[in-house]
Amino acid sequence: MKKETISDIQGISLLILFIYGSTLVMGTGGNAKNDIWIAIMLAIAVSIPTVLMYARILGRYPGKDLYDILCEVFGNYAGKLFILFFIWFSFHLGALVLRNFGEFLVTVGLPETPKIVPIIIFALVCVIGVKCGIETLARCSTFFVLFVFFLLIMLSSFAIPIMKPENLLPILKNGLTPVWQGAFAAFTFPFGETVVFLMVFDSLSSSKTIHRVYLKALIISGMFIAFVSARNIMILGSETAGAVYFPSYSVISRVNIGNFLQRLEISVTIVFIIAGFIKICICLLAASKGVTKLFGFKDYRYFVTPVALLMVNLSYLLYDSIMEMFEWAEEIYPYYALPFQVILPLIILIAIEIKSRLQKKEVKTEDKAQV
Amino acid sequence: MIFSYTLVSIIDIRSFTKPGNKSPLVLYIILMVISCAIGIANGYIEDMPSPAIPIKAIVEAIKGN
Repeated sequence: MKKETISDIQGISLLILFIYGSTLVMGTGGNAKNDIWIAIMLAIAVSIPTVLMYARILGRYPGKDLYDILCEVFGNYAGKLFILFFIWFSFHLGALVLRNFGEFLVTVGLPETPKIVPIIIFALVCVIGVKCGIETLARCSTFFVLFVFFLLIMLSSFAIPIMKPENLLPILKNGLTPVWQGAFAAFTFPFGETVVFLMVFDSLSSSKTIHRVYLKALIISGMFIAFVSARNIMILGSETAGAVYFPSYSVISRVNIGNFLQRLEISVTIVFIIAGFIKICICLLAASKGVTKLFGFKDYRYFVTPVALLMVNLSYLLYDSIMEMFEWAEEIYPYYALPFQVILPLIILIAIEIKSRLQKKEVKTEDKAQV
Repeated sequence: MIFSYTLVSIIDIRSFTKPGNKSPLVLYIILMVISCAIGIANGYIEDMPSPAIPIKAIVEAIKGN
């Protein structure tokens, strides 16, 4: 099978859209209230060493994805145990985003429609996307990302007349603790979720530039998320922004320029559909690749449909209500995701470094013995 | 449910499986059957247990709630 390759720009576009995913619509770091932008900046700062760690893991084994690396470093049995963890994380993350999408559509636009309908339709579209391959997704994302930037900038400039910068003051009124809590939440959702790209970035054309791809995408998307969050606080105020489920949607629905430009909230839905599509596709791709590697097959495309249908089932079973979904996202998810995003990759990196040093030592001793 | 799963499987297998490559079919069918069974169970059993519950319990135990 021909190996698919993507360029750095395509990788950055994929990462940016993945990070936007459901974040722009659902919001993140809400604990920090009006200091949310500081919390997101802190989360970006904390994410930098984390993504460098991811880049280091991939850089050590050029052209291989995390699943191959795990089998090589930990052997067949322990490696497959680690593979199971990462399959579960990407599978579960895809189901969470699918559910977010279903809840969003049912809440804002289709209240009479059963949740499962938009979820199934969206999942089937994602199946087609993943079957087309990472190259196709990456090419789409270079176009999509420009469109999303255009929409974000245009909508935010339309919202300038209703912004109240005083809503961001006083800075650090409640001390640093809520800011750190917000930073922790923003780190795990969405920046730490880029761990999923460890299973996808074997397709990057150059393994030497992985860290640059990660850093550029992190900083660009992080700045935009901080800006959008600050915009939401400036327009809604911290109390209202914390009370509504989808703050960006509420913000854009208030835009009214000369009684002519109004009801622009559909564009928020478009952003969510585009970014959510890329995020679910990447999660589905990672999970399908994992299943393929776990059972020793070669082409992941066979398993995309069954994995996607299982994802649909999981997303439907996950929560009873939208309240439960937000409670999970705010209180449970950061603690649940941290081991997959930091602890496991750290263990893997340490194992890789130890193994490479031992191999170097062995080579040296063999050389000496030959001399 | 079974009919729609069968239909999706047939279309999917026909368009993506090459004639000589039948080995992934067993796993494919197993995954589809599991998915279909969960879907049917979801229709019959009220309050199907969510996989989020044990994760939530573990996290809350770690947090000390």
